[in-house]
Amino acid sequence: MDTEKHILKDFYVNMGPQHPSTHGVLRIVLKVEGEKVISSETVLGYAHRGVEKMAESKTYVQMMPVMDRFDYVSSMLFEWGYVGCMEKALGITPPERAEYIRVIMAELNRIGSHLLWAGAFLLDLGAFTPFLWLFDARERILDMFEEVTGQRMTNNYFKVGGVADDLTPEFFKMLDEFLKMIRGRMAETETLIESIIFLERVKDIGFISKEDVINYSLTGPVARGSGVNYDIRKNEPYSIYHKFDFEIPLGEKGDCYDRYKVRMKEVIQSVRIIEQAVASIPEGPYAEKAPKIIKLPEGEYYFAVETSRGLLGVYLVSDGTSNPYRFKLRDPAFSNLSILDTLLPGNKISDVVAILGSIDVVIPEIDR
Amino acid sequence: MSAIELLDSYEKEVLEQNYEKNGFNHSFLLRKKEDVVDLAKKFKDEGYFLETITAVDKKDKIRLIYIFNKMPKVHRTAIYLDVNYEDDVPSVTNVFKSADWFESEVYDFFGVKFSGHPNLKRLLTPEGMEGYPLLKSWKAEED
Repeated sequence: MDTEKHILKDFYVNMGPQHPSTHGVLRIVLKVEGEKVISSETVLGYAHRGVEKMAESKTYVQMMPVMDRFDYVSSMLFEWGYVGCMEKALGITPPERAEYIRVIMAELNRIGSHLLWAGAFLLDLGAFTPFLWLFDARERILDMFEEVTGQRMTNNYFKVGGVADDLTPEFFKMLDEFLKMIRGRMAETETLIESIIFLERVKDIGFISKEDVINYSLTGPVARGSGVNYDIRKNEPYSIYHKFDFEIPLGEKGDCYDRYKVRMKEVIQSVRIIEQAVASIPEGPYAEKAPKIIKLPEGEYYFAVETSRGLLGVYLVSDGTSNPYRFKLRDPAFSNLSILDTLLPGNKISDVVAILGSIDVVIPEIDR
Repeated sequence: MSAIELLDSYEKEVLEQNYEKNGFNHSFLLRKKEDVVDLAKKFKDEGYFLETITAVDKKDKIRLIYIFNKMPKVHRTAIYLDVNYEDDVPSVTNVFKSADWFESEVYDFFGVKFSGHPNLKRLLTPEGMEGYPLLKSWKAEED
């Protein structure tokens, strides 16, 4: 029998907008031949809320809680980008204790984000147990956030000039327990994860070259998985990151496995930063006095931070009033996702899940 | 080669260079839109990547901003370009692949067209959208 005849030509599969592995509302139109992907088209916009337009009719302060609602798994990192940009424009420097608190909270956020990513990534690939182990660890981070900020996810904790509240003794107790547990938990989970089935699914697929990192403006663990040593915390140090001793984990080949490995190692580096910060956090005020109604001086301001997904740039244009004239986010996952259509052709449909997962996208951040 | 040397042969206006104040190591206003592709090539050859492309509605014109940055040490350069509403601007997609979505987004929100773009489409706004929402003249429909 001639099997060629029986393969359907021009057969399209809609992955999403509602699909468990897209973690949000992302649609990928796959053109397939049997199980093989011939080409793909990523369709965005299902979670578009017009935030950049909305910002123009809101005051700077009213936009604060909105910052939590882009990348909802690392919300405080986004708050930092926005607050940092306003502080730059106003010439306000937060007190030292506030900087330490910010670093501790941001790194906890980064760990939480990577744990959630790893858990969900493995769930997509069919491994259920690591998901529970990692979520248990993440749960403790959320408990700490709840203790200090009152919220588990959309924290609204950073303020111009500092943070909203001081860290409590109870928080430090919880943090201490967490730090004692997390290294062991990561080592344990990695032995659970790295079975032959997992390695077969992620090794040697979804290669990203160093040239493509530049070409597609990739940042964060996706760029570092390909061996590009670029991290805003080191390369454009903001706040007090220059005071801490930590490494930037790098991959070699740039496949899905390298990106996974980079994130797992980053968790340990964030733990190191937190340990150093807790050991040296000074006493003092947790916030500088800042104006109640914020008006940025006329001009343009750009501020970049390293979120769990890469370079976040906040671009504000002010005309001197209390509303932004233009509010723009250069968000990392937007650029990182743009390479997907190049990576998919030639792979099997089940590999699409692994490749998309290894990029780590949060849709509300991309669609804004 | 520094950003200033890279821009040597183009008609331009040198704007304030103050990283501490606005986050850009260099900013320039490019006079001719035809120069933008050539300039992007020069930036790429020097190892820059395209951080983003965005725009601001200045009420009588659109100001495009191309932000280039270099790894490893920060070297953020903003290239401004003033264009008319619904103007055609040469696309830099042949130089930087990331420009594909960046330019589509600017088209979607501001209506600036990029000639030579392989697949210029509305990227984020819903199907059947009319007008360009980030223009100051655009108003949301009342319910």
